Amino acid sequence: MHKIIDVEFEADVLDANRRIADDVGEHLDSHGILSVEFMGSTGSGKTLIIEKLVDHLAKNGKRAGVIVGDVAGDDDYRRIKAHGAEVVNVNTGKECHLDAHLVEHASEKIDLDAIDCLIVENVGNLICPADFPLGTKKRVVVISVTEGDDMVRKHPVIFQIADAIVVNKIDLAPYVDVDLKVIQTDLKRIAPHVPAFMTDAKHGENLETFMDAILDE
Amino acid sequence: MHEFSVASSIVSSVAAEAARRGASRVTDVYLGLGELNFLCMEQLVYAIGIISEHTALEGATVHIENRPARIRCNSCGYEGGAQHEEFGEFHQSIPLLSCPSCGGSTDILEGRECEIVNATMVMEE
Ligand SMILES: Nc1nc2c(ncn2[C@@H]2O[C@H](COP(=O)(O)OP(=O)(O)OP(=O)(O)O)[C@@H](O)[C@H]2O)c(=O)[nH]1
Ligand SMILES: [Mg+2]
Ligand SMILES: [Zn+2]
Repeated sequence: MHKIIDVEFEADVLDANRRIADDVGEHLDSHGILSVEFMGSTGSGKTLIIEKLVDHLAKNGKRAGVIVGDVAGDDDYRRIKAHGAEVVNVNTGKECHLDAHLVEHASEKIDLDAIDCLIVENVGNLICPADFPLGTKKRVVVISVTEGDDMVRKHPVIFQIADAIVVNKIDLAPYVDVDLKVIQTDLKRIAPHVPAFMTDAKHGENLETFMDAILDE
Repeated sequence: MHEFSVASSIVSSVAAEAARRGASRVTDVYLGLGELNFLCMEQLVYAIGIISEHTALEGATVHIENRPARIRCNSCGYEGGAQHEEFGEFHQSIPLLSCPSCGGSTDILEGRECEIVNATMVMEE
């Protein structure tokens, strides 16, 4: 004989990550640290913007710690290290995104009393990071014009849940036949309440405006 | 592309619950998938099928209920569904997170979840 039973769960599988993210956030708050995550497409300029942000913070007497997620390698780690920040490299291997658990462990390797700002570079990916908040106070999504003018409408949710949007490499727009207005119109429709910055991180255009906005608590 | 890691947490929590109750098999798993997360339904079902081999879930049918987003306006207090914008030849539909009533910014109440709702298990007696 056998009996059929119905078992209720009502458990959100994605909640486990969110709970750890909340812990990470509280822990960073208790050290008075402003934390910012950079997500976005591969090669959009996340590391370059972080390098400039580390310098910008240093100029204002503030110290940065950086957690760099990459599928493999330590290129970004070394670039950021050269700017004097304390950097921890996290190779995600097969995973396409960081999660709060990885960030929790990585942050244990940083002396949290010795920094004012914790910056996290996520793996280049416009999809998965959206489902896995890391616990940072702010989430920035970075795309660049060289990816075409349709990135926003192809990946709407990541823009909608971000705290700031950077559209980078505007210096290259004329060379790739991209009209910034198309991207701006999409942003206005899809994520009208998220501040967006059109930057050229290489030459510094609009970058200060973005950095001041993101560091403003 | 995180269907595999999500699928393995689904399979392990359902299998653990089956073991705890002494159930021999799980025949059906019911999931609720919010429209604002990035899990692809077909890939999730496929991944669960593969991961559940040699577990109590082997051969179980996975049922997925798609759940619409629910938002709350920060200005006028609207609470309810989001508007959608249809575009393109594939009729892709984008949820718009501005308030449908006043255009204000909103908080997401529901729609990001991947919930194990319930499961049907067989107990040998
Ligand atoms: N012309 C131009 N080049 C830029 C700009 N921003 C970044 N780059 C260049 O674009 C390339 C990629 O930049 P990264 O900072 O490595 O981009 P990333 O997003 O960190 O890349 P991944 O970590 O591999 O995803 C580098 O060669 C940068 O120098 C910009 O605004 N204009
Ligand atoms: Mg990088
Ligand atoms: Zn409203």
